[in-house]
Amino acid sequence: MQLIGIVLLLISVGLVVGPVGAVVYIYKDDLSGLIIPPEVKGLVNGDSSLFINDNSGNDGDDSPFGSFVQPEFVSANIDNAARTFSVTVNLTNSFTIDLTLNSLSTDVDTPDRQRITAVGLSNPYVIAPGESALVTVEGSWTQTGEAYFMEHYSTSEAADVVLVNTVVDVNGVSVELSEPIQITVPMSTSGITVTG
Amino acid sequence: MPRQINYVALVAGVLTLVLIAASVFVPWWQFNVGNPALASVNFSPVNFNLALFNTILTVPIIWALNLACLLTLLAGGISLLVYSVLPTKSYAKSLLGFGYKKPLYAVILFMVELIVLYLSVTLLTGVNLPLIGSASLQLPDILSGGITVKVAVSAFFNWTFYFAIAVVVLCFAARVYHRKAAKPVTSISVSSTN
Repeated sequence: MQLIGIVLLLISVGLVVGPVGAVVYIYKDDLSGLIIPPEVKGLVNGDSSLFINDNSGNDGDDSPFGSFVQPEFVSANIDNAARTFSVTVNLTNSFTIDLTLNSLSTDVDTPDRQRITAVGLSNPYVIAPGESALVTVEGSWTQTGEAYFMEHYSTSEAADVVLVNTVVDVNGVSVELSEPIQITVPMSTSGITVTG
Repeated sequence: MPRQINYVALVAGVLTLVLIAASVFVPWWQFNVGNPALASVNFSPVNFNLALFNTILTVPIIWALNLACLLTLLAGGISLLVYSVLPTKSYAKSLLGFGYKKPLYAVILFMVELIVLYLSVTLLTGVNLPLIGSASLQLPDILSGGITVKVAVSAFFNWTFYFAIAVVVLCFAARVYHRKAAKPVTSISVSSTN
C-alpha cells in the first residue's frame, strides 16, 4: 500500500516535471522563447503579417495602415435645396480580420470655429480582409456656414476647415479625438453631382 | 458474491475525462476585446491562449503547464475509474486519494490564475476588467497618447467552468461514498432446520 502511494507521488511529480522540463530543454538555447510566442518575436522584428493582409492590393504602398485611413474619393452628391450632401469613398481593409465600421462622426468648423456642417456614417459597414467597400458619409450644412463659406471661399481652389468632436468606432474600439484636426479641402467639382 | 462498485466514483471518473476533453475546446473563461472581437483570451487549466486578429498566440511555458495539468487530470480520472471497480482492495484508498482531489486542484489553480491575471492587469494599467459581463473601457492616457480610446470588452464563464465545479462535488461525494462502498459485503445464509 505504501508502494502504490510512492508510485502515485512519482506519477504526480513526473506529469508536471516532464512537459515543463521538455519545453525548457527544447528552448535551452533561447530561454526568452519560453515566454514570448514566435508571432510576437516576428512582430518585434517588423513582421506585420499577424495584422496585415499581404493580398490587399497595396502595390508599392509601404504603409497598409495608411491606405485604410486615407480613403479614396469616389463621388459626392449635393442637394442645395435640402442643404444635405453625401460623400462616397473607397476604403480597403488591409487587416487580416473583418473590420466593422460601426460609426464615424465629426463636426466641421471654419478655422475661427463657426459650424459648417456635421458629418456621420450613413450606416455600419463590414469590410472583409483584403476587400474594399464603398463607404458613404452624410451631412447637412447650416445657413450660417453656407454664408461664411461663400464669403470666404467661393473663388478659392481650396478651403481650410477644422474637424472637431471626431469619433470613429471600428470593431467596438472607439477613438475620440480631443484635439481639432485642420485639413484643406480641394474645391473641385470633379465627381460631384449637384441637385436642387 | 456480487462485485462491489463505487458508482459515484465511476461517474466522477468518467466525467473527469469528459471535462478534460471539453476544456481543451471550450475555455472556462473567455475575454473578448472589441465587437466583433479583435482579440480574445481563452482560459482553462488545460488550454490558455491569446487570440489576436484570429491568430492564436501560444506561450510555450504556459502550453507545458497546460499539458501538465491535462495529464494530471487524466491520471486522476483514470485512478478514479480503477478505484471505482476495486473499492475493497488494500490500495483502493490510495487510488481514491490520488484521483478525487485533482479536479479540485484544477479549479483552485484556475481561480488563482484568474485572480492574479485580473489583479495584474488592474494594477499595471489601472483598467478595471470585468470578470463577467460587458463594459466599455477607457484606456489610460499613457496608453492612448492623449486620444480618448474606449474599447468594448466582454467576459464570461463558459459551461465548462460550472461543469468542473459539478465534477469536484461529485469527486468529493465519491470520497464520502467510499466508506459505504468499501464495507465488506456480509452474506447471511439461512438454513432451515426441521
